Amino acid sequence: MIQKDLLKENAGGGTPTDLPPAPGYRDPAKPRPVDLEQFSYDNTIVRNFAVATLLFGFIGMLVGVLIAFQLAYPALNFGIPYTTFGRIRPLHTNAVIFAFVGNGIFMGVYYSLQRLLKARMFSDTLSKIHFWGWQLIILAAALSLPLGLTTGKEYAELEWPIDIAIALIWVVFGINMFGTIIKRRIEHIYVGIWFYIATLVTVAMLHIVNSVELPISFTKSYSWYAGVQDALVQWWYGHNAVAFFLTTPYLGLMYYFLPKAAGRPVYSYRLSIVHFWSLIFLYIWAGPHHLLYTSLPDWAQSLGVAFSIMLIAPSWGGMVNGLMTLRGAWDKVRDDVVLKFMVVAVTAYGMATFEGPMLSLKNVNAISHFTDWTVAHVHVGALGWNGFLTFGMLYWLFPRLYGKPLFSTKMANFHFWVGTLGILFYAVPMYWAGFMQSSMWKAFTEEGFLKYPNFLETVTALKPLYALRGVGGLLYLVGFVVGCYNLAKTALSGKLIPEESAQAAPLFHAPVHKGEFWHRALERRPVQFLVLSLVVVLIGGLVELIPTFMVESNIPTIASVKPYTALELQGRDLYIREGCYTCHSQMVRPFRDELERYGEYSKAGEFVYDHPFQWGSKRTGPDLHRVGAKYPDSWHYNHMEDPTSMSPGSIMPTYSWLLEDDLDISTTPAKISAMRTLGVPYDEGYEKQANDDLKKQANKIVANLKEAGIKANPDKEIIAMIAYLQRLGTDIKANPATTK
Amino acid sequence: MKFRHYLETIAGVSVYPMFSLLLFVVFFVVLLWMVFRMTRREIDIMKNIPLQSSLLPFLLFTVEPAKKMGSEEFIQYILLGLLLVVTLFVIGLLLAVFVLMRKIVGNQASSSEAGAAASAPLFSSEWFSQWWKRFGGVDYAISEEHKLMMQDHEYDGIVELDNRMPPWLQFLFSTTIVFAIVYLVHYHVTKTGDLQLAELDKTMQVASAEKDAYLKKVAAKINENTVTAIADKAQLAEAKTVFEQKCAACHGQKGEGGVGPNLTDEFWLHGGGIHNVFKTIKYGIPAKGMIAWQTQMTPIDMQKVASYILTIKGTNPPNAKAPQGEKYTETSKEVALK
Repeated sequence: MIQKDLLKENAGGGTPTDLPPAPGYRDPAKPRPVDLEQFSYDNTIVRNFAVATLLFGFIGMLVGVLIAFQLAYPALNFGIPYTTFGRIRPLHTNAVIFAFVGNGIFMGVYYSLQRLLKARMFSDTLSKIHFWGWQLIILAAALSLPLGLTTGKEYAELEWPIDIAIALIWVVFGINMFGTIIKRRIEHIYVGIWFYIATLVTVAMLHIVNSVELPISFTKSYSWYAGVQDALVQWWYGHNAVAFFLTTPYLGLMYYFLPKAAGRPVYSYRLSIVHFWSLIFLYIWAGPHHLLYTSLPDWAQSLGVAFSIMLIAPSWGGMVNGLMTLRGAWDKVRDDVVLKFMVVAVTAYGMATFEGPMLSLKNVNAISHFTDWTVAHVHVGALGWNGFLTFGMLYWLFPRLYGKPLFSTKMANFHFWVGTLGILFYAVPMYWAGFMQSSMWKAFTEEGFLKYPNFLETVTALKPLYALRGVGGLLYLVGFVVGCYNLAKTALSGKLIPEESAQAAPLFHAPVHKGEFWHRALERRPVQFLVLSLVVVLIGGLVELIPTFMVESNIPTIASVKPYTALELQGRDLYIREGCYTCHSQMVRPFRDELERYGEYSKAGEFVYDHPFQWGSKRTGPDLHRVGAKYPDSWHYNHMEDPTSMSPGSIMPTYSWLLEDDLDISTTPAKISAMRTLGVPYDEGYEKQANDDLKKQANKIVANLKEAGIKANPDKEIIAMIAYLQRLGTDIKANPATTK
Repeated sequence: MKFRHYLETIAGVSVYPMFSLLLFVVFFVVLLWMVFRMTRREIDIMKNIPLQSSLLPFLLFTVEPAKKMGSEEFIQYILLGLLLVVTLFVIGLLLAVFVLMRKIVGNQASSSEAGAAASAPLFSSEWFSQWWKRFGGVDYAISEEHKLMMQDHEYDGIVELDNRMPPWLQFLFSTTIVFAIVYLVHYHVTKTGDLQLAELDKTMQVASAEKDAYLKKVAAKINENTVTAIADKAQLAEAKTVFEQKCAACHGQKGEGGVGPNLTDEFWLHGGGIHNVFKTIKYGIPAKGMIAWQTQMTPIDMQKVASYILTIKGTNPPNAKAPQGEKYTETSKEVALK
């Protein structure tokens, strides 16, 4: 089963791969070799998505390198809001996930889907709407995130109008994909397409459920859920964005491009069935492993752990099917850069999907969570699996799209090696940093005191490692730029083959023979397949979400926890706008060191008015849940103006604009009303007096500052920020008797 | 089977096996000797190396500070895993050596026995290698894979094989499922596992026990010769409470004196200064009714109370008892010590 060189075929305008049977022979299961239908594949859309992949890959990675170096050299925040870490870190993650990988998915899907089904895309218009719609969404994200327009939920930061646009464009993609499946010429759908279908339904479900928010203006909304529930929904989404945006579509692409590039049969059909269904069923349950040792109910945490462990084998199923497909083609791997990229990608996938379950074991998570270990873990996945598979696809596609061989194999090899080195230089310092920081956090002296009571010590120790990590990222980016040049040269040396002609027999329903494998029947019923996938992915989510929302004992209420005042609410929105959650958690876990360092561990009942929750996932700075009343107002004022004035050596960016910009209080009534709609018990009519309250509280803070010798203006944003920070985690101190 | 025969058959073997054996033995003897003479302190130092000098190669041992958080087990597993890998490696190496020797013997024997014995399978028999291949899911030759081709599974030139899921992967899958069930039962049905708050309680108990043990150890070193006055306000406040409970009955709530002498003036019956006061508290003056507190108070508490007593000098409380004893000054302190 060695494949013919498709390159030559394409150069000649494409030849059918379905050769008519030999004269005199007729396979009873196949249609008569009557009229082969002539049609063509749409390559323009594939090219468009490929160019977008490269463009946004470059931007996403460039921003990534910038924020990496910002951690080592805070001056690189440039002292202006739009380039400060908290705002452009979401830009980096969104650009890489939804722009780079997203366009990569569409590129691969639009290429492989047409060929696997022997059909042109359902509608060229829909293809174009999909393409331009998606790019506009990316543009909107690239503008809105640096402006601080964010929902404050990780990997779902985009505001509600963009959320709606995403949903609509996703539906366009779905119709286009399903239309193509319906008018296919191949009776059974291939395993790659199973993964596309699962991606389609699950991403839609996750995106819609997690993005339910109440708008208060065109650019601001509040999450429908609060506190623990919001956290659960968010990480159910966040974890499965990894699963169904970064994993399943790429597995589908691997199932097409890897055997194509290797010219080898897929190792095991049965394995692909087992691992497909078990993967999509189990993945959905694993979200709570992002919330171990938090205020999430224990039972949900345990489910997260148990299902994460069960995920190892289904995930490895993909790796095994990929690597074993290369059996007998390893000699090619030595020479073919496409296969090299793919082998590293699949291996990185295998490593990341083993590490993931290990990180969700409680005792490992106790060490790794909130540290750079997690950052290393996701980058092995993103740089290795998604990045390298994308590059493999691109190097394979461009010669076929342009009918010319790759401009330079040498350059592609350079890209491969420098990229691999980049991954290592990125991952190793981060693993080291994570482990070191965690050890320092948890270190006690024999007298029972924290060995490193000053959190800053545990951060400044990491600076060299952060710089080294930046170098790793830079290496990876250099390889990528060389790759772009190579691909551009390849494209320029040829001419796009916009329509690749093909021919195939019309769809023919072969008679069902007895004893057919049950799954085979499902493969020719795509709609049932879609419905079944949806049912399978719904189960885990429903079992975890419904009890958390319905059963009151899951979130014990605390009487002394009161809604935020108007000023604090405004301050909280500033906290969200500046992306503080990208570096600061608000979740004191029940560990001895955290009790010692921060205070009482966080209780579920303390977050009931937090729309959205701000627990965070990384502690580049200390936890802030108990920061309220810890420092005087003047400390915060000076610290925001220049963090190094209060904490010498701090890597936190300056927030001097908070001292200069006026707080927009015209939104206060709308915010109060919206919160009441969401169930926060503000008194009827409070929105009318809210701004008076706000001013009173602001004046009080200004008076405090005056005592400390700081002349401050009560209208500035900093006052609201101080009010919020001073409120954090103080409610349970107000009346300890009522807490449990 | 006599092992020495095989060794003898290696061409030019001469004394080299003796060398290797000697090296091997010496290495382990030295290692054992080092381990046995290692003190607890040296072990602790080695454990702390990376935190103190941040040396990369020793990173693995940084967990020492974290061990109180229950990750000691985790590191034990890592070390056990490493040990397992090393053991497997050594076993593999031994096998290789064994096979090699077997071949050498076989070659020599074949000259006389026509090679019949040489081709006989070793302990890694045909059966084992077959099983291993099946377990790994590669029990077919590539030349034979056309037999496994799925009929009618052709998608744009991609075909599929009818391999089953590799048994090792099936085994892994079943194991993880069993683990998951056991995990959930352990924590939520039989409730034998500690959920996070129970875990916290235990950690805090262990920590406070360790702290107490440490303080006891430190306290044992405090005596009338080494004791120093404490200036820490929190500790002095604690000492005040102790004073009011234990000492006030005889010396007054404010140290003004009663049955016992006034402690706020400059005159002392048994010497002032931290060393003398500590000594008096510790051993008491049984003849005059002052209890020897060493059986009831820890040295640290006695140190605190002694320090506290020194701080109330000159407070002139009401109803003060008349001065007794000699006036105590800095110079007489020196004398008293000698």
